[in-house]
Amino acid sequence: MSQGDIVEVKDLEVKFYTYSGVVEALDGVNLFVREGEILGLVGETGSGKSVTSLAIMRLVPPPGIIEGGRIILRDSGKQQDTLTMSESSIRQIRGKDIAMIFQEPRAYLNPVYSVENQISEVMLVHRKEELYENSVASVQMRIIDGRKAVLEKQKAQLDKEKPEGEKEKAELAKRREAIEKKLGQQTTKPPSNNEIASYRRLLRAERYWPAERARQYQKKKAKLEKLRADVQKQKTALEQKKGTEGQMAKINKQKRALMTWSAHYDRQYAELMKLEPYQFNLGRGARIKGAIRVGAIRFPARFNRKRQFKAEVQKEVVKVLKSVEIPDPERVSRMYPHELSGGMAQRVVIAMALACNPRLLIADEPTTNLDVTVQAQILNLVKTLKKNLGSAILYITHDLGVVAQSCDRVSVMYAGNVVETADVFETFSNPLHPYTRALLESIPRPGEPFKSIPGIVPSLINPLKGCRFHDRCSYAQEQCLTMKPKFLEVKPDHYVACHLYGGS
Amino acid sequence: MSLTSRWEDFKTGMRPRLSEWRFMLKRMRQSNLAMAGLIIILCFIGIACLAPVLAPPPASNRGDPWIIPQDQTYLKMIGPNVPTPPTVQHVFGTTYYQYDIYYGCIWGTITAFRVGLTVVGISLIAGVIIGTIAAFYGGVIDEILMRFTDIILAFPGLVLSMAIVLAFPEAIPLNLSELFLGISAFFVLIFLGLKRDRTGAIWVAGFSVILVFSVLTYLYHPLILALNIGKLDKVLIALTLVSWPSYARLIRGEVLRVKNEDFVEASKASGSSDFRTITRHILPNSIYPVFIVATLDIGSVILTAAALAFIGIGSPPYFPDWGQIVSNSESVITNGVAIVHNFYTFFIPGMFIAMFVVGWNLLGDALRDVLDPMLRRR
Amino acid sequence: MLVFVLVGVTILVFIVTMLFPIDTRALLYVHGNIHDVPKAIADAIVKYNLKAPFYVQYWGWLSQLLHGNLGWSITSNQMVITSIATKWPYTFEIVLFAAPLIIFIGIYLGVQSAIHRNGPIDQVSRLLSIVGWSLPSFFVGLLLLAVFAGVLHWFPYGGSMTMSWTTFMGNPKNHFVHYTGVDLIDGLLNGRPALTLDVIWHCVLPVITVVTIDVALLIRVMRSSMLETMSKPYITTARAKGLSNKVVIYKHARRNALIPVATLSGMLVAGLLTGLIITETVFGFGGLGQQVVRAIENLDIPFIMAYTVLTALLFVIANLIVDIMYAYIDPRIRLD
Repeated sequence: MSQGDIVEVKDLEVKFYTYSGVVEALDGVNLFVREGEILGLVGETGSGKSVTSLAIMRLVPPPGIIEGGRIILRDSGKQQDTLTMSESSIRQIRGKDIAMIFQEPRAYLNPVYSVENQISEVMLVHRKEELYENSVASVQMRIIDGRKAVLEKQKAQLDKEKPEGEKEKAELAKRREAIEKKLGQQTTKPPSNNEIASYRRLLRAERYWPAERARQYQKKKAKLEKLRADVQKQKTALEQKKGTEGQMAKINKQKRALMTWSAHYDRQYAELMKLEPYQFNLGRGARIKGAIRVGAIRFPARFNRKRQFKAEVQKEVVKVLKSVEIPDPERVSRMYPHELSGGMAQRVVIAMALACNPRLLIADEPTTNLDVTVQAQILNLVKTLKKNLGSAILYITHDLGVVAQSCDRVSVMYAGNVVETADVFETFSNPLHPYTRALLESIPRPGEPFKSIPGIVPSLINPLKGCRFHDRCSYAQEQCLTMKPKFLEVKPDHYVACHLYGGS
Repeated sequence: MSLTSRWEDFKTGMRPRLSEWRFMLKRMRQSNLAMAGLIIILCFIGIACLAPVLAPPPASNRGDPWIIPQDQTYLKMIGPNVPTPPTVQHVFGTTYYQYDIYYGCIWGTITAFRVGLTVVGISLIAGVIIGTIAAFYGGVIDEILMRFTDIILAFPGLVLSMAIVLAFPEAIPLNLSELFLGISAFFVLIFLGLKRDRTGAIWVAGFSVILVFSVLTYLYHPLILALNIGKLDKVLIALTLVSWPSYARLIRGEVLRVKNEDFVEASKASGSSDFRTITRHILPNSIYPVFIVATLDIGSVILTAAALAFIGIGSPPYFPDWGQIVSNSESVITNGVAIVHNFYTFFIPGMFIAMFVVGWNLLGDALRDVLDPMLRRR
Repeated sequence: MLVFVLVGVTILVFIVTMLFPIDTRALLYVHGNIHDVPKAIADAIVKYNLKAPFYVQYWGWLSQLLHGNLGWSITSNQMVITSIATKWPYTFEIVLFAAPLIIFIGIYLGVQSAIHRNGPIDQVSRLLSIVGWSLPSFFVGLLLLAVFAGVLHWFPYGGSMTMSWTTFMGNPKNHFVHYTGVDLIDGLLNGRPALTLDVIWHCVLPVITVVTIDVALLIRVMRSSMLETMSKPYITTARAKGLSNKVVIYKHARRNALIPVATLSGMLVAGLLTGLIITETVFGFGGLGQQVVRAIENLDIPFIMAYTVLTALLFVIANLIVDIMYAYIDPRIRLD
């Protein structure tokens, strides 16, 4: 328990108020998960593993109430107690900083919504701005690419020309230089909103009336040029006119008016000229089923910002599905949960949990209901993901084999308490708590007789006083019946809650 | 096996069920609404039992309580067309033909219980039998029986019962030979088709005897009973015919669900006959929703019967039945202005009906609330 | 399968008609306006061979039924078809207002009851639903009439519109064109919104009667379905994703909870017709329901049979629509 932990659970108490009585499900649980590690939480059914994980996310269902303790979340120096946070703050943490996957994947997916819908849902809650920026950025990239392609083509055309003399050669070189410079600019200058908008307008028009639009463009250009020429002519005429004082005033006023007009026309002309590069294929735009081709680039016919955003989200969903090794992710994203097999569904659930890159992933017995082969696949997947994403994993299971295979550290739970926490090798080679020892001894080995722990798991409605394991413990002492052992660090990074090691 | 040991076995077998029922009762006692419903029904039962005391039939009716007394003085003075408001003599007033509303309501309680329990009881039994057979044996039988229920369920209940009551002949000449012929043929076919083992052979043999017997009598000397069917009985028959399909569908759904459970397979594997499997294993696990629906249905049947009476199909005007009392004054009530004046003619019997149905509904709801978590506890 | 049900329905109805004496049955086959009833009956008996055996008669009956001839109604002295055609708009007016009200109020209150379990809305809704469903329909109607029309005089005593409008429409000088046959809409189409308002004013009490009774059941079913859905595992997943409570309830839970409610609402809307028999009689609305009651008084078999078949047909169609809606809401069904 140090500053390197992501989550630290201290003395957590959870009680369930049921018709049959008060179930003291968790009675002072101490747990901590370190950055980037896999912590295995082991225990029998009913030991409180799931309740602990739900409590971390504050999802304990009624009639359960979290009665005491602290759950501390650490995030690059800052720390906060999730049990005292407001509902809206904890909602920001769920899904984004801590994510959870459950036991029966198809039951935990909403049957009436597609996979894509459910995965994109969590992305839209936590990553909306980021995805929106990406969608816009991708369009901007495309416009820039378009401009670049146009310029490249112009350059290619220039290259094709064969200059016939020094002067022409120089001119050609100059033009080429100009184009090169423009090309250089294109990569750094992002298109403005106006550009995008006018481009959108153009594309919409292009799709339906390319020739018409071309004609309109030419007409407008011609008109503007004529207006500018007129204004210019009037300006020069006025310059040359001279007259009396009063006439001068009138002339000046006219001149000023002309200046405004010419500025106005110049602005309009400049605006029109922005579209100039896209006029390249006017009238000869190849229409490919709703798409428009400008140069070598194919653009969607109706450039719709909302649709772009949706496409971006879909792309992201497919990316996440690919990361959990689902084959043919586009098709899977359109499927419904009941169409998926067990292993596929569990991958989808994992994808949903990892969609926002959480720092801690809580896995509540994710492979218990699956075939053994699928179990191995999922385990490997989880390990790969941990390596790639660097998130910590709290892996809840009752299978010691899985723990030995995949986890870095182990926490053992019994009847609502964590009794031992240590590194996995340490735990398996040197178990300190009697329960852990009994668990490990009870693993069936070929050639040896079965060993089980005598007694049954206690009912948590009227739990035993003192250590809850004392009636099944072979090392029980006097104090075990009355005093509850404290959770102490007995050896370096090896915590036990037992009177044998001074838990009093 | 001796009788005492069999009794011991039975008691042991019933113990978990008894404890569940005890738990159920405890839960029900905790709910206020359930208690209210129970009290209401108990009150009505009390009224029904004490009817001869609360509203003794007048001497003029020769001791037959099933005729509502008409106030003769009013008849002579005011005439039959004007209901009179409540007075000391007629606590709830009188209806259109000067029938005493108080008397009608008290004895109407008995009628209500009679209608409710008969219709629901018979349709429940019939529906459960048919539904269980359909679900358990599946296949063609299931298809045919379900199409049958579909056809009946395609009609709105009120309309179909209306049509049946109208079409029902006054007296049915019940041809016993035909009846036995039909029933025995049905069962012979079923058991021939289903059970090709020793028990099946016994059933087929037994019904074949009845079949032969009925064929002989049909050909030579048909046994005919003439049944006179009263108006109310027509309504009862119609309502039963209309209600049974919903029970059949309900139990069929439940049996289908339970059929695939492991303990059913275990029971079959240990050699139980079909009948035993059904009665001891499947039915106890699937019948709870049927009871809930039955409780709610008693209320609903009373409402339908009252609606039919209001239309004009039901018991004769002198018969003490809540819906009938309201129907007596129908021409006055729907006339418009007179409704406020003759408020009591529909309000009081209506309140009786409403309270009765509310009681059963509360009981049914309580039952549902109690049984549901129990079902989920499994 | 549907065909089987429809055929079965016709067979059942035919069996029921066969139970009636031959004179009454003959009325089923009468075509066109008749003035001399006994002669028409005799003609029909001969023409349609009504003394022939069972199966022959069935074909005859079915064929002329499919030709659209439903018989002669002695209550209204018209062809049954004409009778139905003139009366159905009034029933439609009530159903038009009642059906959406039932569905939307039922769903809304059901969801709210489930969310705020044991809160004030829940207690009131549950009380209303138990009481509402327990009251006989004539009781509610009569009570409303007595209180709101009799005592408070806020609403009229019955009928679908005031007499003055009926005479107005009948007067050829006013050029009132019956575009749709539904007075509510015709009023607007003829530029007489006052007529529409009058009709609505007359509809209020009957609609409240019908809605009170049916919405009770819908609230209860929606509430229990919603409560069951809220405890499903995928709701926990939704919360674990950090979705707000509103989204969890209205997006995830409600859609799943609506699935069993969809069937029920289809049946309820179809069942409105049966409820309307009583309500129309109480309010004197002049629609199909009231006509059936009159037909029963007169033992007008053709009309009653036609009404029965009509309601069965509407039930079947409603079921079909519900099935289609089902496939839309629940993707698990779509493959079938």
